[in-house]
Amino acid sequence: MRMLINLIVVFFLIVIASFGTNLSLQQSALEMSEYIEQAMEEIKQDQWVPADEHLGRLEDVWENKAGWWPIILDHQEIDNIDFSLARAKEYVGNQHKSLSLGQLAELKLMILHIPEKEKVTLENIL
Amino acid sequence: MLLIIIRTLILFTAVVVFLRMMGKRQIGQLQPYELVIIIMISELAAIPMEDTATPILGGLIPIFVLLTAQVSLAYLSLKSEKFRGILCGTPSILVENSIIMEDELRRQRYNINDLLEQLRSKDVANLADVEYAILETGGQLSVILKSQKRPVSPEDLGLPTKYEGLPTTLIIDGFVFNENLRKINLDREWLDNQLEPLGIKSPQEVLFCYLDTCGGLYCQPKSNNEKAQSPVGEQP
Repeated sequence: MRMLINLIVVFFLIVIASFGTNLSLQQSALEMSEYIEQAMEEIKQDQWVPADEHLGRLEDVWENKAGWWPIILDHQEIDNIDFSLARAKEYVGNQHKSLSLGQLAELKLMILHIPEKEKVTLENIL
Repeated sequence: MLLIIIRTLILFTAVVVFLRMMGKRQIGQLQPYELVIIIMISELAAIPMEDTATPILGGLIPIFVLLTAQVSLAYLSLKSEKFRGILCGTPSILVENSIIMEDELRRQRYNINDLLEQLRSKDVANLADVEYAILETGGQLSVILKSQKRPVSPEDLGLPTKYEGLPTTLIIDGFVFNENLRKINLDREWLDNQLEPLGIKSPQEVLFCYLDTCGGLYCQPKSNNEKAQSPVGEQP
């Protein structure tokens, strides 16, 4: 009986941690997508320096707040975001407008897709 | 490659721990739902073991959830007869007083050849000797012979029998089980005194040594394939 109680307690802790994880994923993803949107707006107005700064902040958030993501997410997906971010930085650095906008749009979609995939919805369960 | 080795060791340890927590019954005779859990656990552990892109938690958490489900179901089936019936099913009588229960056999999709095969594996060649054959929930067949066909026991013959308990293991491969010695109110000094007449200077020279309930000490030394099975001493 004691083991059952312990298991149930740990089980509920995991459930609570899962909800916390989903919330944190969503917040971090939203924060990163905001930086991407700001960078895209600036690129559209040919303001390459602030766009580059926003990408730098995005990279900081990605390294600090999303550093634990590989513990719970598919490593391949995390690698894809790393590659995409590297490409976007390079395009912005070289001031390729269309390539930068395309790459940033893809990056935003990839980041927002992660919390979306982890959400407890009927669609994801089935 | 090193990553795969580390992940394999972690998952192996986790599965062993979880199976131990599931209890001894889990690795013996399985109920249908327990078999399902075992199959699922093996699959869940194998995927993150071979695929380093999958987070290890993706294997450990489902295994833990299965463990919780198994322990909960086992507890509920312990407390409720009705629940146990739903979860594990109930035993089915396939033979009653040497008559095959045709309907039950059909219901269980158990053919007569299977039944005869199982009876033969229980050393029963003649169906007429069977009082009951019961298909248990775990899938094994229990056979109860007619009273006149059962092996004769000392009780049938009215013979008195001596008490037979469990022999106590004292040494295995040179290791002395001091705890077992204490349980039978003996000590290391007594053991050394018993080994000495057998020409054994130290317990480390012993492969296996036990004390039976009549006080006989049986000892087999390690070296030179020498097998000395020598009862010594009186009842301690």
